[in-house]
Amino acid sequence: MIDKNQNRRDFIKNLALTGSVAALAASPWLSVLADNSITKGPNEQIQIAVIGTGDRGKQLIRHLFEIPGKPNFKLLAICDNFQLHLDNTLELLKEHNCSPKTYTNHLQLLENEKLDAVIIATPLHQHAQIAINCMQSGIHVFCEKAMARNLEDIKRMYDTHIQQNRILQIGHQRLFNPVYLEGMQRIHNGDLGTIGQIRAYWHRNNNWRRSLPNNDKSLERKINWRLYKEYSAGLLTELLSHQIQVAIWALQKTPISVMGTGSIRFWKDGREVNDNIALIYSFEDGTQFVYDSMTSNKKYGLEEQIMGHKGTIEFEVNRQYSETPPAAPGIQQLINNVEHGLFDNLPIGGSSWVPETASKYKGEPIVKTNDLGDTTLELEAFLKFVRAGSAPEKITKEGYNASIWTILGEQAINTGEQLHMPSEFIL
Amino acid sequence: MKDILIKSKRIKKELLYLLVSLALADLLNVISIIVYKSSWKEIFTQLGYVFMIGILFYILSIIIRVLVRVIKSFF
Ligand SMILES: NC(=O)c1ccc[n+]([C@@H]2O[C@H](COP(=O)([O-])OP(=O)(O)OC[C@H]3O[C@@H](n4cnc5c(N)ncnc54)[C@H](O)[C@@H]3O)[C@@H](O)[C@H]2O)c1
Repeated sequence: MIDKNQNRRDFIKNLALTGSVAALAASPWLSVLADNSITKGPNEQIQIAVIGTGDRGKQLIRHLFEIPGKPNFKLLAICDNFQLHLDNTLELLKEHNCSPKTYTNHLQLLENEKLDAVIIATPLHQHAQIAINCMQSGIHVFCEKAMARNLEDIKRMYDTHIQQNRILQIGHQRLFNPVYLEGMQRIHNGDLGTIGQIRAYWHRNNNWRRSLPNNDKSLERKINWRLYKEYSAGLLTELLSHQIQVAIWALQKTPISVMGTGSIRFWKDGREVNDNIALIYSFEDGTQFVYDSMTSNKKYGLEEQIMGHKGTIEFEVNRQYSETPPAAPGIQQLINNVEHGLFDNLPIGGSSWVPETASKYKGEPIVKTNDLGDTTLELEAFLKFVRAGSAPEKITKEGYNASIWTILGEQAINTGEQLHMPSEFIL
Repeated sequence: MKDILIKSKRIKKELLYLLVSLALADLLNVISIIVYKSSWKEIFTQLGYVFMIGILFYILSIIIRVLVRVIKSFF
């Protein structure tokens, strides 16, 4: 059996070695990830804390312990202002023989512990202050997406990262997903030709509510923070933020404007955020990023479709389609034609009329094995960056631009206007 | 119980029918390659299809022969 980790290392290394200059410039973190020398050697142990141990925080901890090659780190402390989540996380950590100290306030954590890095997975509105406090204490930060609840906080986070010279990596795991890395190389090498449109969507059919512990109604806003505008922009910050990041990465430029609309169409249950949104982002060269998200139909699931004049990539299903697909073998064409000749009705619209329905061509896979976990890779990269003392600046900018344009999307929906990036937020 | 005897002459005849059916299917593959200007590699890569079509031809030949025998028996 081929070792999955070896597979993954070879894949990343190969990508870093074979990538063109343009492709590597678009994803500079690839070279760092491929460089094994950074994790080897008798380096000192990296001291980490996780702030926010809800669903994502626990997932990230699991992924930390799944990093192959046992990187030399210690989970020194966990911090959460909700005791139940702290207890659950301690329970989870028992299987790793890990018993970190616990804190309910991140400032106490910073005061008492000597940390190299933190992982922040609190609700969105808390990200900025916690991340800024950490960076000001000299600690490198991995913070979940989106960056912050408003444009000003996003900029404050970015500025602190520059002033304090601390790593600020935002949790966009697709940046480390082998399907995306390989697909982006092809896009940046020009394999898809001129990209005219990127279409993306995320459709679910559920109410997005979490059940309250002991049915305690006073916990509604704490547990279901995603549904309230004070803490979240709902579908925009939770889902669109990932997909606008993919679009910006693919096009290697930021939009120039956004317009959009949204509504609470189905889940009229007291929530404040829209359950149905549609946006169009325009780029200087005329490319459009067309987006929609809803939570009352899941037929189409989620996808990012990069559409060029020579081909299309659909990342989520790991497929590339050429605009001129290879013809089927002769014998199969013959059988097809005989079949059509025997069984098809004559077209009433005349022989020149062919219905322009979607092509049935199933395309080719972008990468062969797709079992290479992206969240583990992004955390592995973060530890490498921490050990090296810096990360490629582009990785912070990816998070920054995605977050800024996510919040601008929300403002466009709220105002009904076509919005441009205010000059003070341009990097 | 009565044994069913298949004469070797009969076996040879059926094998010949099968061989001709397979050859016809192969010929069809060659014609398709020329007509649809596809790759000559398909002579080998499409052997599965060719085999299936060959079997189909053979089954057709059985149906036709049975039909001919039935019709003949009426006259
Ligand atoms: N990258 C991804 O694919 C992905 C997936 C899910 C969630 N997320 C992000 O992760 C973050 C957390 O989401 P979640 O689903 O885990 O939410 P959650 O509600 O399950 O967990 C958040 C935790 O933070 C704690 N918390 C709140 N304020 C705090 C504070 N001031 N200090 C310490 N802890 C505090 C809460 O008590 C809770 O335990 C969000 O930003 C979300 O967008 C990212």
